[in-house]
Formats: sequence, structure tokens, C-alpha cells
Amino acid sequence: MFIDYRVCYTKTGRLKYISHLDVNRLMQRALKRSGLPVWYSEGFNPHIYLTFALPLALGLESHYEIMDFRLTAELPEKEIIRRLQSSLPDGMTVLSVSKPLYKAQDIGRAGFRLELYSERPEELAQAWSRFLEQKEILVEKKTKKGVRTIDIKPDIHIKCVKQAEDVLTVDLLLPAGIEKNISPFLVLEAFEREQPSLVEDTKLFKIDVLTKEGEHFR
Amino acid sequence: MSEPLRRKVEQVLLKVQKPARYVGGELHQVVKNPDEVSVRFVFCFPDVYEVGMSHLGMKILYSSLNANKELWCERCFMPWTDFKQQMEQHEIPLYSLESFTPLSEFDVIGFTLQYELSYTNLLAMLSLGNIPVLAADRKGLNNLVIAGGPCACNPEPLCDFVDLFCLGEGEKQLDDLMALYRKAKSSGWTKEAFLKKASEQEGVYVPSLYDVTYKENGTIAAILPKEGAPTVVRKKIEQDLNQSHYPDTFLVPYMEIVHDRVMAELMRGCIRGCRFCQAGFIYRPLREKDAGVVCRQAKSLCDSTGYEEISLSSLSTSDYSGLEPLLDELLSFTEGEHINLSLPSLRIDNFSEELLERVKRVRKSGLTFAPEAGTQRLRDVINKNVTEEEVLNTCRIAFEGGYTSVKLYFMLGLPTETMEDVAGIIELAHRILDLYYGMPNRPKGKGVSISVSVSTFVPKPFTPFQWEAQDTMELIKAKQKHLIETVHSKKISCSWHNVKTSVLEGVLARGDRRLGKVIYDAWKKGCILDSWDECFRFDLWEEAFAENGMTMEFYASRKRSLDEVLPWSHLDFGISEAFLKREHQKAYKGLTTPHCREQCSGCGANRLMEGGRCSVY
Repeated sequence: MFIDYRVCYTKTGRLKYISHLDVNRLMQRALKRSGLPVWYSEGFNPHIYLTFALPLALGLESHYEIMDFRLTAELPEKEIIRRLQSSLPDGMTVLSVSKPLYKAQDIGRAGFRLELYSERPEELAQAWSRFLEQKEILVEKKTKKGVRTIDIKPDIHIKCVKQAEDVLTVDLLLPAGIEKNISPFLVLEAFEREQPSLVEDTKLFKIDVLTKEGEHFR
Repeated sequence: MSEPLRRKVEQVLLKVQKPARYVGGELHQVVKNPDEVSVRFVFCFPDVYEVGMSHLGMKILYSSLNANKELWCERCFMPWTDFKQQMEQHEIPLYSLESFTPLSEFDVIGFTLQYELSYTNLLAMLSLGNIPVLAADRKGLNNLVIAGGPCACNPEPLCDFVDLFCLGEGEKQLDDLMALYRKAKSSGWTKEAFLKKASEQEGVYVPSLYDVTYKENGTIAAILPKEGAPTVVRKKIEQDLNQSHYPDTFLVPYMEIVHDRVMAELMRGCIRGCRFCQAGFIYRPLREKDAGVVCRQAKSLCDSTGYEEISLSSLSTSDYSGLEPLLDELLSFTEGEHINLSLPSLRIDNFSEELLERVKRVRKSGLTFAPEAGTQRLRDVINKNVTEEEVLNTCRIAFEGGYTSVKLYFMLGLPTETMEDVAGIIELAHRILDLYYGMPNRPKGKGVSISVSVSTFVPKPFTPFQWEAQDTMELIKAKQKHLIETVHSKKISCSWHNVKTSVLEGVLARGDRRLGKVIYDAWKKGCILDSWDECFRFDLWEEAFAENGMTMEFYASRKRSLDEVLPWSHLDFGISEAFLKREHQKAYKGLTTPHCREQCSGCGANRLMEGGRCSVY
């Protein structure tokens, strides 16, 4: 007997340097310390049941991480949030806990924010517009079958672009889910290949996960 | 917190492997306000993060040092080559993980010396921290470089680089030393004045207060204390482990480390006296922790870390006097909380069915035992006190208990070893195999597997074999070849270590002060991370020896006479030289010595206890 719960949380600051496997281990231990009645898998080597919707690449921060776990008893969501939060390190904030609404295979896209820092902001903004106006944006993508050149232009869906003093902020959507994943690093690499040494520093965030129908994944 | 340095580091972190090694911020790291402490201490482990973070001694000292409100102890590890290169390229100084403070801003820089092949990392870390590598070039009281750990029992090769060595156990000793340092700092003492005063404390060895003279044949003529330094420096130990500081929580790393679990320390010291084993002598006398204390500490660590495994830590787990009741007590909470128990270091001769029953409840992988030598004659020489019958009996119990995989540890190059002894290793493995096939009730389904792991014997200080010649590389290679030729079954697999690293380990283990120049030159040539095969450059070490007009053979494969002045003759680890000589002679006669509980052999370690009474006999 178990009840499924889905937690949405952040992973920010220096936690961007820890891998997906590290997060898995961290969550196992955090759940153990939390004292929540977590459900263990049955069988030869029982372990805490955890699944993650979209594993986050090393180097990305996130404001929208999704993890499913199971409890052996129903508890008020506020209580789960409180206990879980008290066991998590700085940089991980629980945003919500609820019963899952969608299934992992419903995921279609993910939203990302690129913050590009430069001392030449206007030049950067112009370069970015030119970059997006290209007919195609070719990148090399590593797959199980080897390196393949693909055009990611049709996959990039820009939500908004903001220019501030020394930073260009770009919110965009990219394919994500079981069928196709495009990493924001690929977009950044393609841009930096066109415009080497224009960007001095970058910050990348995952900010949203959407279903194929465009609903927030909950 | 140095924000500019942190930003600089962050710019390169995604270019290196495992960046989690370099960012700190783990659960239970200790952060203090630097304005509220009077001493800044950085604990340096001269190897990479995942190795250093696995080390129990560091966890204990990090916790005990930070229990002092006047002091903040932070951590630092050796960067891997990729990050080291980035640091050099971008002028990033080596920094502490807690606050990103450059090493050069610390009062005290403390290294733990766990193995000889980490010595060049000590130089590399100082240099990356912009600290002069040579002790003589560090003039002030700040940046005091201290070192402890098992290799400090012969610290002579590192005397050029380290200001002060701590012999023995660090909990109480470092407390006293840091109290003195605080006083020195607030009163504006010179470094020399501090070192001289520190040398009066038990366990503190200040190498600059000793002159070493040499004979024409290269051996030591005399070790002469000066400025009133003690003639002999005796190690300091914790008197009662039940009262000794033990952390109530461990730092929990984000990335996977080598030993990623709760460690419950059972005891220090060992009753056995295996003649090759340095740990068996330098940690004497045996002191056990009460089962109740062990259990309470383990429970507290599990609760605060969320770890899913407890490992019992000692030199010989099955010699702990209350092991079975302890296991029952531990199992009473671990089973309900999905926590595994692991029991390393089990002996062959007291492995009972009752113990197996408990081990089976917690561990399903294979069993590991260490007969160390292939024939009874040689096992008697090294005082292993294990008979072939006991080996076979233990394996029978294991097979009957459902185990089908046994791992056996042996050594090549033990004193008096012949090719018959070498062949005996595989003969023993074959007899275990025959035993398995001869059992009507043997576990069915899975095939049996016996893995034989062979290391190279390295003579170490403070053992009865400290005078011995180490086998040459050629001889070890011939023995390895002979070993593999005697294997006639696919069920037996055989593995061994790199011989060259064993040679260098042997050189550094019994080296003297003149090796300082060689270590310095080897490091300058690019030798770092020597314990990692992919980084080990034996050719550069050979060059460094040749250029200094020295040979490795003098240190590794030369048999010393029993009256030679050894480089560690002025250090006292409780073990008397008379005892070591007795054991040495008995080894050559093939005579064994009973363990401490059977009969006291007068090793002398009781003198380290208050009142002079050993707890065992």
C-alpha cells in the first residue's frame, strides 16, 4: 500500500555542480532524515522508490524540478513540505507537493532561461537577433549512434528576450520528454560558435516543464 | 567568504570532471564567523576529495577541532589534474571548501599522511596555495605546516617541508597544541619560540630541532637533539575511547565517495602482532569502546546523516570482545530502518557459524579473508597464526551458509619466501575449490569463484621486519609469473598491484632526511598523485634519484643490521626495540607468538597507558 506524491522543487547555486545521480542519493538520504513514512521497494534489496521527470544536466540551475515518491500513509501536503524542506540543503526549496496529475510521458517541452552577460550589451542583443534569423542552426548532437548534425532552428521557441545593463535574458522553450530532448547548452554552443568571446559569463536555468498540450506539468 | 575567488572558480568548474569536488556546501559542513575565532585551521588531505572524505580520522578531527569555539577547521583536498591545470592557468589559489579562503591565509595547515605515495601532493598543495614549500622559507608563525597520521611514524623524508609532526592520536593532542598556538599568536611569539615550546608537548616532534649525521657507508651515525629538545619523542594516545571525542554527525557529500557510509569505530590497536603489519604495532595498545557507546554513536550518525549503511571500523572486527551482542543491538534498529551493516576485517580463525548467521542477515555479497601466505611455514614466519585447517573450515562454513564467492588476500615478497611458498598460494586456492566440489550440500545454481588478490610486501618501520630487504622488482615479477603458471582452474582468478609503486612506497617508508631533495625534485619534474596509476611516473622518480646521486636500492632492497641507527630511532611508538628484535629472531626460527589475550609478549605499549597497565592482559 502506498500513495504517490509529486514534489516540485528548485536546484540552485552550487547545487548546479552536482549530477543527477548525486541528486538521487541526496533525496534518498533527505527522505530518510525527514522521518516521513516513505515506501520502500520490495524484493532483494529494498530501497526508497524515487523517479525524476526530466533529469537535469550538470551546470544547469532549475526552478522546476519534479520528483515522484511514495508514502505508506496519507499526510497533509503542508506537513510533507515542512518535513522535506527541513532535510534539504540550501539551494533546494520545495515549491509544492501534490498527487500527480500527469504522467511522465505527457511531457512535451521544457522552458529555459539563458542569462548572457557581456560588457557590450547592444552588440550582444543584435548578435542574438541575427542568430535567430538564420535559416537553419546546425549543431552536433551526441547520440548513442554517434555524433550527428541536426538543425535545431525549428525546435527553438522564443518566449521573450529582455535586455538589461549587462545581461541579455532569453526565455525559450525546447523539446523535452521521452521522444526528443534538446539541451539549452546546444543552443548556447551554436551561438558562441557564431559569436566567440562576446559572452563573458552565462547562467542557465530550467524554469518550466510543459505537457504536449502546453499545460504546466503537475 | 571570498566571493571574488568563488566567482573565479565558478568560471572554470564546468570545464572539469566532477566539479562537486571543489564547491563544498555539503550537509553538516561547519561554517563559523571568521571574526569570532582566533585560529584558522585548514585540514588538508593530500589526495582527491572522494578519497579524503572517506577517511574516518579526518571526520573525527574535523569535529573535535571545531568543538573549540576559538578555532575554525576547514577542509582542503588535492585537486585532480584537470582542475589543477585550470587553477594554474587562471591564477586560482588552492582554497578551503567551507569559505573559499586561500590556503595562504590560514594560521595552521594540517596534513594527514595516510600513505607514502601521497607525499608529492603535500608539496603540490602548498605550492598551489601560494605557500613556500620549504619550511625554512616560511618565516612567520602563520602558515604553520603540521602533519600527522600513520606515516608520521617515520616522517624523516618530509622534514624539509613540515614544521612539526604529531605522533599518535590527534584528538587531545591537537587541542593542547592549538591552545599553545593561540597563546603564541596573541603574545606575538616567533615561529622558533613556538616550535621550541611545542616540542615539550607529548607527541610533538619538531624535526628542525634535530641534527642527523651519517657514516661513510651512507647509514646514520647519530640523531642529535639540540636546544633542549627531547632525545626521544613518544606518541600520544587517547586513554579511554569511551570518553574520547567522536562526531555525532558526519559531513554528507553530494557526490559518491569511496566509503559513503556511517563508520562506527570499535577499537584501536590490535591483539594479533602479525609481523608484516605496521598498523598492528603502531596503534597499540588495544583499547575497546563499550558496545553501548558504539551503538549510541552509530544510531546518532544514522539519524543525522540519512546514510543507509554502517561499517564497523577496526583492524580486526572479529577480535572485538562483544561482537555478537553488539551486532544484535545494532540489528535491533538497523533492520527496521533499512540500514545495512558491513563487517570488514573478519579473521579466519574465529569466524563462527553464529557470526555468519548475523553477517548473512546484513550482507549478501562475497566474503573476504586474508591468509597472507600460501604455506604454513611462511604463515608462521609472519605470525599470521592461521592454519590451513582453519582456512578450509571457514570456507566450508561460508559455502554451507550459501556463499559461493570467496576473496583471499596474499602477499608476495615476505621474508624467507621461496618459490614453493608462492606456489602454495594457488595450491591453497585449489584445495578450497576441491572442498567446494566435495560438499554434497554445496550451494547449487551459481558457480563457485575464488579470487586471489596478491600485493607486494613492503617492510615498514616499527615492525619486526623493519630491518628486512624488500624483494627487487625482478624477483617480484618472477614470483608473479610463477604464481600465474600454477593456476589450473578458471574458477580461480588472480590479481596484483603495480610493482613499481611498491618499490617507491618501500623507499619512502624507511627513508631518511636526505630524501627531501629527491621528493622536491620529483615534484618539480611533475610527479603528483603518485598513487594513481594514470599519473604515476616512475621514470621521473628514477631521474630524481640519479640526479641527487642516490639509489632506491639503498632504501628498499638493503638488509639493515640489527644495530643500525634507523631514521626513526628517536621516535617512540610504545613498541620497544627489544621486543621487535625478539620477534624478528622468532620469525627466522618459524616460531609464532600468541596474541595479547592468550599471553602478553611484552611489547612495551602498556607504558603509554596512565598507570602503565594495558587493558588486555
